[in-house]
Amino acid sequence: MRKKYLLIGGLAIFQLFTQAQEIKDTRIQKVKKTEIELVYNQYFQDGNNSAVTGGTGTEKLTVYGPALKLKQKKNYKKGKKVKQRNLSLNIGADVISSASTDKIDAVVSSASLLDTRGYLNVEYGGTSLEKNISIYGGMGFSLESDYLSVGTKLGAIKKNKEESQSLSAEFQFFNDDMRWGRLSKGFFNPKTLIYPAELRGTQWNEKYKRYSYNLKLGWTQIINKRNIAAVFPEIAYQAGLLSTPFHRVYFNDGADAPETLGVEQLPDQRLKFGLALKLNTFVGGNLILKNSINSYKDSFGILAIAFENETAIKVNPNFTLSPNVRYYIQNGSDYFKAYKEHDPSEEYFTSDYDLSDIQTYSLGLALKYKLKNSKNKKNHFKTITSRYTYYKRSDGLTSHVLSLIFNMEVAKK
Amino acid sequence: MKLLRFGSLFLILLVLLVLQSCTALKPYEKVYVNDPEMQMGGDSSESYNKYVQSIREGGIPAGGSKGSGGCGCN
Repeated sequence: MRKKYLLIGGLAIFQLFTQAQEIKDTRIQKVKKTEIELVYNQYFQDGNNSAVTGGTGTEKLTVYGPALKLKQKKNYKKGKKVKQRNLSLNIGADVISSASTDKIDAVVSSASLLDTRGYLNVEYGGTSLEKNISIYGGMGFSLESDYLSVGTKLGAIKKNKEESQSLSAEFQFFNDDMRWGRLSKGFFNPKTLIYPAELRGTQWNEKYKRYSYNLKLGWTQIINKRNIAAVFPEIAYQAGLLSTPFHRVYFNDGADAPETLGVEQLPDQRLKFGLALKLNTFVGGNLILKNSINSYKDSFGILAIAFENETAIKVNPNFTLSPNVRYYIQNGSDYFKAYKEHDPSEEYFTSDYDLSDIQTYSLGLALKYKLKNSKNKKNHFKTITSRYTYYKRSDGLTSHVLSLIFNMEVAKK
Repeated sequence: MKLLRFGSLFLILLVLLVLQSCTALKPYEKVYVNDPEMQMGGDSSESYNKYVQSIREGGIPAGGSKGSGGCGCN
């Protein structure tokens, strides 16, 4: 029944979007383009440090992720001024098969649990082409068994007259509800936080909401004929339930004591700072280097830096090959300890290896094929992109990511 | 730790270098910088990779796609 309502809702939104294309503006309409993007992502992961089972046990996971993106751009004249309107819609689902999540209920189980994450994001904005200013706002939601996230954002981009410099600012707010049961017990009646089966006699957390406030800034600058640089500072503040209620922690009680365990506990506030620096260089006739450095620090004690390079090789005007390499090093959180290493007297504790001392390495390859189309053809496929990434973490976790994107354009004059 | 300090210092130096060396370009000189591959935004497959990284690593990258939403707990 619920699926039926979701389907009807999805169709209604799609209908609304397509109707918007048909509305005739009384002002002079110049160009109207709609970009349609079909995306399919597949993610495979394996490891042996699952936080659900206290930092030990399988992390085997497969995610199948189809998505559809629509982006409509319309230029028009209002008096003597030329303006642009943008509307975009992003809808998708991740079907998740997770061996570790299955162990929330049964400590020993061989079957994998199937879960689904559905999401929808809508963004609307306007641009004054004379003043080079864009203002946009958006809303979105994301829904899974163990949470509902509702997000809003507001942003602005200002370019200088020569279009050699661009400044941007975006504010995001997310309101997350971490109670279980939206997909299994009725959307409007989530019951409670879900704890591991053997720990449900105790109320481990008083809060079930999480609020996130993000401020993202950007400065992009053309340095010379062949170089563009950008700086992206970011500050984020989170409050509420920041731990995951079904993450187990096993304590060190001594060799002869009976085994004791608890539910992950983390502070209810977190402040994060991020800084990304990017430099794109057109080296020669067919080679583009895209380099970036990301640094990060937060109040949980995590300090991290990532170095990344993607080299775009234009094999011919229609085909681009892009190998990618990334290295990430992280000093872990003060609250992390491995399986049976936490002291029961500690206030905060986690055995989630995402928060531990780690290094990660990734290698990938993207293939982008631009389809040849007649100039007079208004509706056509533009590009087909495929990407594969291999990812390895120093604690043994490995993953493979596969993506396939079909990009199409529908133009009206 | 040394690598982290070196990286932070490198970031600051690079920002200063960028500030010092900008030149104004005429429209006909923008053939390379206007190339689609030179733009800062990535495609959907890059966004998905960044989303995965933000879940499997403690640090959420600046300019990344995931600000919140979900536990990323599997």
